[in-house]
Amino acid sequence: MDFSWDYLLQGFSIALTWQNLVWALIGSLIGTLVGVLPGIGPSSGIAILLPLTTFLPPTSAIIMMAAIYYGAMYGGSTTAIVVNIPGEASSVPTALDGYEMAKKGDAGPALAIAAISSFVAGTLSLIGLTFFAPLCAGFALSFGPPEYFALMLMGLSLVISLSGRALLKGMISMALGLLAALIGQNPLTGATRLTFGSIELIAGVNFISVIVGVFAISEIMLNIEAQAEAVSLAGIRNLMPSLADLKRCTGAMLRSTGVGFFLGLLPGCAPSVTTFVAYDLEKRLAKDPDRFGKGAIEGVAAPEGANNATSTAGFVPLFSFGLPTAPSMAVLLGGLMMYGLQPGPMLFQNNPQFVWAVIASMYIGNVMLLVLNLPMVGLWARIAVVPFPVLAPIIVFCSVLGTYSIRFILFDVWVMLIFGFIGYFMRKLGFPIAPLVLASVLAQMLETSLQQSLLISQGSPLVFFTRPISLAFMVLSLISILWGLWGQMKGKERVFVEEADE
Amino acid sequence: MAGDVKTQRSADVVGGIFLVLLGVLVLIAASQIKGGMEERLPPRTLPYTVGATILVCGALLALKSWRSTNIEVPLRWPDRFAIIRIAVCLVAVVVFILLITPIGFSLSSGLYIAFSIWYLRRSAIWTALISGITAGVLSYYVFGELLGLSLPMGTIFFD
Repeated sequence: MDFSWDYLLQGFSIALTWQNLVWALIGSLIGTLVGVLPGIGPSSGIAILLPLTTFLPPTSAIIMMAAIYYGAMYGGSTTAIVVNIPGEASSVPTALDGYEMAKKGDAGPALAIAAISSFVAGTLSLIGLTFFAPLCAGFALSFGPPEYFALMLMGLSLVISLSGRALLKGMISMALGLLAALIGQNPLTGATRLTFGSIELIAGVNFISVIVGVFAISEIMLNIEAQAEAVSLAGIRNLMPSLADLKRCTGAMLRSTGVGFFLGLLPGCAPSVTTFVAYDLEKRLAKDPDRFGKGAIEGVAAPEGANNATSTAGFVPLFSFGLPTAPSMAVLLGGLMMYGLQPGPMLFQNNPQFVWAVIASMYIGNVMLLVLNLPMVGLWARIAVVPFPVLAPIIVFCSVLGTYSIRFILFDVWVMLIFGFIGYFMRKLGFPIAPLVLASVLAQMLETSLQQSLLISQGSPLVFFTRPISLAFMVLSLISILWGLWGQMKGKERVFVEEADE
Repeated sequence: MAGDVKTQRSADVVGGIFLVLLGVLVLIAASQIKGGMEERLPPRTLPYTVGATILVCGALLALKSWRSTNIEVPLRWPDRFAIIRIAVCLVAVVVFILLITPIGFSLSSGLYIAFSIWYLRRSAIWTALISGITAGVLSYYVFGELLGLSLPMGTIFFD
């Protein structure tokens, strides 16, 4: 399967209809808001809104959802720079130098360089997505159920081993996600399981309730505990960076795009991982690394570029293999499935207009976000200082509305609340959340492909080791687990992924 | 809050034991699943696998933490006031959900938002009232009427 200009132009013609432009704009606005506001991240933002978009055609709905995701990557930097509160975990390295710049009265150039770097990286990685995704999809056409099973297993293994905490806790988190997804009916046979006689449980636990619970509700509980309040806002002057600043950041923007894009293709390499890698790389390459942490403008450009490149790169495995690399991507995958679209190579064959319209809309969305973020940055910063006591009940209201609207049963809302508790304790006790979320979304596909594989092989599990591609994925799964075990035995808890809604 | 669970080590031991119990519960529930062994993937296989994984990982976590000689890392549990704050907020959410069917989504959400904002920020009584009314009106007109979501209208008003 090759890239075709015709398809891309067709995608642009669909993305440029006024309805889709409006949804992309709304998505960009909501995304920036989600990024700006602490307490709600892109995964829960998308999960809450997903059920509310069922009145939209699939293309418009996914255009809006995708815009929320990459919009959040733009918004996260604002609070990190202005008030030293990263809206997302991926903005933590941005705060290191961004806030130092703000303290020196250079918040304007820092915010501008964050927006410009996000735009450059977002656009360059979109070009990567445009040419890379069809190639990968062409490769994935040769996949059968054993390859898909092995691929998803590899994805989960990588997420566990990269989850930055103890491997054992990652395994437990994944098992809890699978357990939640197993409740209810078997997807192929329809047999009920683990329902304990409850009628409500026969329909299963909806993954949106799980995601909103573990991310939004638990985050609110943590903030109520910490008694989060409003923060004061410094004035923003001199928005444009100087030419010298831009020149100094050009290399950082390009390098962070490469780092963000290529690492972002791997499951588990969420923006919160790649932003630290890009920041660290710039610091190592700098002639005067001592400036980093004291207001170096490249320290803002690099993580912001990596952030956006990673979020775009995640669409490559999502569209071509149906493999989410991060919780937000898992929610988007769930969104596609809700609309009856099966991500993977067949998406490019059966729904080319849909997939190219979404890709084209991302080019447009990036321009929209640059325009929204540069002149309106002061407004976004002001929104960020909405007191948490006002924000928290509104987020809970949206969460209840979103989860209730999935199937219009209150049971889903109770499930959300229960998973809020589970998420709160998991965070307190240092369990990573990403494996739980990914497993709960991937479980059905994992189970279906396992059943189909065993049907093909007449029950022999050797089918996963006799086909070269699935064998390669199985070996990679094993290596990633062994790598995680090795890290644990050496006593190294990788500092990478701080657990977050991303 | 959690009594003796004041360090990461003790929390992991307690958490591990809890997971062992959960694993046992899943294994018992899985043993009751009906279905034939004639299928290529018998219906009990995956639940058994997940239950066993939880049990084994839970046991390993508890044992590893029990035998750990590392420095004790204190866990930051909420103090008494924070527990009360969280509890009141959660009770408010529970009451909100319980009231959705009898008094309708709009009214219950309005009351919830007004109460919660007032509780968390006593000085913001007007913000609480205005936010509550706005949420109620928005959920009725925007989500109910405009987006056509079939939100409960309240059995006490419409039955």
